[in-house]
Amino acid sequence: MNERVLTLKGVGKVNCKQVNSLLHEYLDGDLTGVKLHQLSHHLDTCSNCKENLVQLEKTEALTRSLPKSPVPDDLSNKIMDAIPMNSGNRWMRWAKQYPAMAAAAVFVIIMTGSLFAINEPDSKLIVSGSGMEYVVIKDNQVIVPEGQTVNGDLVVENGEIIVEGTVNGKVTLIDSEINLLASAEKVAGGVTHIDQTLDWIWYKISGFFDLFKKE
Amino acid sequence: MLKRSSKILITLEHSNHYAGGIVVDSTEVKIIKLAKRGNHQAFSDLVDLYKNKIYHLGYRMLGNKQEAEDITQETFLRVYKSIHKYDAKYKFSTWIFRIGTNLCIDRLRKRKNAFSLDAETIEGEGIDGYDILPSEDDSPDQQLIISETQRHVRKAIDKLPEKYKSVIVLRYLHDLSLQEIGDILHMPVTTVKTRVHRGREYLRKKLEHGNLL
Repeated sequence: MNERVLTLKGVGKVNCKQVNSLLHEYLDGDLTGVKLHQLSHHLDTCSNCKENLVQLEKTEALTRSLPKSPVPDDLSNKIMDAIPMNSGNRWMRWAKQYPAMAAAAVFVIIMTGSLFAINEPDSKLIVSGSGMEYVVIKDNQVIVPEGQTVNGDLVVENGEIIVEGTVNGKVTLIDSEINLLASAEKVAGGVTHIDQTLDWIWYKISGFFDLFKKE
Repeated sequence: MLKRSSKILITLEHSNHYAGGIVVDSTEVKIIKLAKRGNHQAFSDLVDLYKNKIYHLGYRMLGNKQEAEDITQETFLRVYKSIHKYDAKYKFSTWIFRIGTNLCIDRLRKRKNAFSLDAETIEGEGIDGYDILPSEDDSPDQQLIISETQRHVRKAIDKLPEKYKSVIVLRYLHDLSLQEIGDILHMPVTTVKTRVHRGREYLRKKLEHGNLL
């Protein structure tokens, strides 16, 4: 009680400059208790500060009352047009952001696609190589007739090779079988089996580079 | 599929839910979640929810339509590019207002550097750079309605130094709390208060000078 009386007694000594900061605190809704009493007491006696408060309140009211200017009708469209997603889907945006990754992804997709193409179940018999002219082809069988000598290489895909004669070159088998009627020595250059898809890819790629070597 | 579901969500749940006195706009929370996942429709809904607020912010901060439009577009572009960084723990409005306000402040600073507009002759008197800028570019019809008082208030806000302008605009034209303004501008509430006080004094002087008080 005593304390409060003392504070109130001191009110008169609060100068107008100090009151100005109290006015702002009051407008912010921050003024309570003793300080509020100090202010109210000062305003009762000081018309200058009272006028200040009125002016500040009017300033606030005028600022708040300022009407909002109309928003242009096409603002939404303009905003959305500026957003990059309109110029492409998510994948395209991602691809633009990480071009190297996108190129790698495309490569993987194409390679996977070609694997499926390779693994088609109804693949046909394919025979190639420099020794082609000496062989007999029957259904999916490639026959090197008895007494015949193949002077060159043979590649057989998706079939069976029956060697009754002799092959001086190499025999490469892709998903194929070999049937040597006598000994393996009949194939001078040796026999290579390619069954797995990865081997196949490697074979294709090295074949591709061999083309350049030859040229 | 997602596009359709978000549209339904908006028509069915366009209401605020009050949870323990805090307004939780569940629609907005859902829209933001969808937008974060890259949903086009959700982002467009977010634009519709905030475009007016950001436009008004830009208009008051920069004082003309064109720049208000520019700033609104830039704000949403930034929101789009960095929405994955938005932390849902904080209010979305605080986040988007921060982006918008920062863009406005950047422009004001560039303007100041380019033309030295603040080189006023005598305290608030005389012609300065702001008078040359096209600040009132409404159609003639609208200009008829705008009273002399409003013109004065607009001009007074336009002339506020940038650091007072942002707090005054957020406080009085967007009705935000001092705490929210502090969050938006990344500054302590005490600093916000000081700036509001100074901005208020500045406006008072300008309006008094125009015999409006």
